[in-house]
Amino acid sequence: MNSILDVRGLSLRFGKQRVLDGLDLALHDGAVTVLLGGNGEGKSTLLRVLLGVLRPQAGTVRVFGQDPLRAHREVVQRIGYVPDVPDCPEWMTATDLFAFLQPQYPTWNETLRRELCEQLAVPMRTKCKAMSRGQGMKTMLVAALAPEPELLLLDEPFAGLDPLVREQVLQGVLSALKAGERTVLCATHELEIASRIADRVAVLHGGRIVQHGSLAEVLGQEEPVQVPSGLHRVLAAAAATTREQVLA
Amino acid sequence: MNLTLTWCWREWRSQRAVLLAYTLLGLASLCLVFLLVPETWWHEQGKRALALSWFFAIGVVGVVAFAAPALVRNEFGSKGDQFVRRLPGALGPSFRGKLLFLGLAALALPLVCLLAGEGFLLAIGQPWHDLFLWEHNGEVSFQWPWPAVVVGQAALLTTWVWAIGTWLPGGRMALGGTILFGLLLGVGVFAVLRQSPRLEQVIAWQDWLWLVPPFGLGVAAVSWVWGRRGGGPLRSALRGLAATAVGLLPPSAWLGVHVWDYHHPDLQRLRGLRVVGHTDGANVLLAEGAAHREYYGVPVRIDLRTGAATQLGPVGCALTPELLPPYTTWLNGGYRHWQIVRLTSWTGERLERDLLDLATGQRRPLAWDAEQQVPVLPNDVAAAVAAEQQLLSPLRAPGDRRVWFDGNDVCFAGDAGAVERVRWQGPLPRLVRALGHGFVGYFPKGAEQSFDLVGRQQRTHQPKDRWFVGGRRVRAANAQEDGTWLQVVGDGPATPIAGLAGARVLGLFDDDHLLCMRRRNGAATQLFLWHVHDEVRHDLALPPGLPLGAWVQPAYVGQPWTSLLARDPAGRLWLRVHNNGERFVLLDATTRRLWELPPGIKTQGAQLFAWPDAQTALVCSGDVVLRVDVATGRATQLYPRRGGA
Repeated sequence: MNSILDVRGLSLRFGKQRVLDGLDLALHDGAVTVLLGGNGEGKSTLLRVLLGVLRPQAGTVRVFGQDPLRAHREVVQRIGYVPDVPDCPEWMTATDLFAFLQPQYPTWNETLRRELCEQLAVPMRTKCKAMSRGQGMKTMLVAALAPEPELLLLDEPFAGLDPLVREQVLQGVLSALKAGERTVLCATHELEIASRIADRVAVLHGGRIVQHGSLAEVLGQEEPVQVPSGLHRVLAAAAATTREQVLA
Repeated sequence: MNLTLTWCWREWRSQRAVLLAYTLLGLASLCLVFLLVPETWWHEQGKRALALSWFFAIGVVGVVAFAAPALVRNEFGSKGDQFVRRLPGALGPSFRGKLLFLGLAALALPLVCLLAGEGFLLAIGQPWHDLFLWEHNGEVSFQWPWPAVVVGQAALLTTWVWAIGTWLPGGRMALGGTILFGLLLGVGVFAVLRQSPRLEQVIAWQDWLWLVPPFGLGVAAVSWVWGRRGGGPLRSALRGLAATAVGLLPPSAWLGVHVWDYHHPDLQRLRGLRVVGHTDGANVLLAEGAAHREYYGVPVRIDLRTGAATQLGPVGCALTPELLPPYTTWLNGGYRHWQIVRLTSWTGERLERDLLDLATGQRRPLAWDAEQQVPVLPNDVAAAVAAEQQLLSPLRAPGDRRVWFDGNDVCFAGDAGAVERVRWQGPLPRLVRALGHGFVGYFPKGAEQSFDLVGRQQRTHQPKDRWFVGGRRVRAANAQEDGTWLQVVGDGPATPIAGLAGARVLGLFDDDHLLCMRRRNGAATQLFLWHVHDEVRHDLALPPGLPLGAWVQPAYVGQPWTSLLARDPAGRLWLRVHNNGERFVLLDATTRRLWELPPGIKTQGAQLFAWPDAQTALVCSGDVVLRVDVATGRATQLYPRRGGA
């Protein structure tokens, strides 16, 4: 399998607080990797480094074999990103946002965009500041999927959503996964959802990936002492509903 | 280009509400103000143009204070400026789009406001075409609409508002940050200029103003496109400041070269040369000169025998022969020993002094008695200085008797080396200035006392006393010395001198005569001698060809400090005659004949400072020192020796 993402020795700190500390991570084609970790463990920070938004203090980051900071356009054009909070300007409506994003991505699929908007019932004429969190996340999901990215980065996309919207967003993600060989890195601390979509699980703790492998591999490993207690138990219970079952 | 337009459109969408609201509010307020001002205001010349320029200014302010800061501030949302930074290669296109928007706003907003102003004037029945006013008084003079000019200059900082906005968290306070940054730079420039007074009058610094906007644009580009790549405001600030430092190098180097030139001028290309003193024989000069006429001079020692020049200190030094109080010394008095005083603090509180031996060029620190407020002379030169100041004293009693101070005594040179002493009663003055056969002594806190060298007694000084002549005082009736003169004998009353009516007294010609001048516009100037005791006038015939209404005055630069009008070794008095041109006229003291110096030297502003012998005079003319042959008028340049001037 080709390596889509290769991170080695990544370190980053905000002031005196070390957030990532020698992190190593590699993702391969077509795999859905769930990045598990508690609040403040650096999941969002890692994704922002992969997007070229943050500059690491140490280590190397290669996405599609390139440094996202040096080859920002080439790399990020192939990445779809759903932030944990809608980050588009507040005055924008979904129509404005999509019209604005379309020229930025050569692979933008307007038909797909329309289908997704219809499927997820995205409010097209509501300004972002007036959208609910669920509406905002659905809009961001469409914006991330419409360019048909090769790598999809999801940053807590299901957090804080009511069950109905959460299911809608989840369906959106799952339908995107069905659409083709797409590599996904989904940061979350919701184990149930993780278990439903994950091919592989990476556990981020103390600024490092402390466990990484398939769900079964991770469940088969001894629970590291530094991992939040009970992770394996929750994962095992959640794994009763497998991704294949969901996709079927 | 497609992406640039996309970003420009986005910028318009994000700013349009604020810009429209500001513009409407500003225009409405302005219209209301102009509706409320009195009707007569509109009829005064220039006011309509002023009104229109205010409308224009509203538009410019909108660009500087609203559009430019929002270029960065509007990028910040719930996740900071992550949105623009995570879009593929968006920093470059976003910069170009913002630049396009800013350019369009800078054009459109002032024009729209101007148009609104024109419409407003039309609506209230005023002419619409008075934005620019001019007058024709033989020459066309243009009246600038100053509000538009002032804010137009502020608009030069527009791109800097943008650049500095990228340095600040959240893009906030960009305008204030720009003002602060400008002030910081301004303080630096001010500090440099303060050390180099009038430098700004010479260097063409205005040309650099046109580079301010493109420079700011470059810094904004670096701060945004490079600084924001993987970084936040801090990285932008560091990159932007680095770019600013690089960009400031050329103007700093340019300014530095001028400042260096100011403080270390080429001593063979001095401008505004002014001779302050010279040694006996005038072989060595103490002068001040600068790289440019507008600059303050540096002290220079010039050896006229070789043309060599040495800089003696920094700009702003005080040069004085005042070494032994009471100070009877004067500039160009032929003194060998000088005091060089220089400031060593910005506030001028601290002074450092050097003792200069002008003949040898040697300098050494000079101590200062702060209690007595006098210099403390080294033992090995104290006697020489005292002898020098005695010998070169400008005070003369009748009979050309030299007068000087020795301690508390006023000393009169007698026959065969005898010295007659008169005790000075009370504290000694600090400074003494000759008034013919008398002098006035100046004390601290403004007190004055005069001394009659004929009666050899101290007198209460009357400020209007101008000349002591043979025991009488010739007093100006008013401070302007406009030609009404009085005389006082002893302690008697002041009586008018009819013969001096309308005349200007130039000085004491000999023991009894005052040299006087009477001039009127359009008439030939009269020059005459006035015998004070006999009240007899002796007319002097000025050479033919002098302009009507010419001014006549003594040419020797040290004249105001000497008892008698100074003469050259042949006894001739040198006069400067000027009115639409200037020339030297010589007066033979014996024959009382006047003649014009043969042409050959440039006399305009020339400084006659010494006569080495009966046949030559030394003149500082413009930027050169000349030796003039009195008989032929032929001038030889002694300094500078190479073709610098």
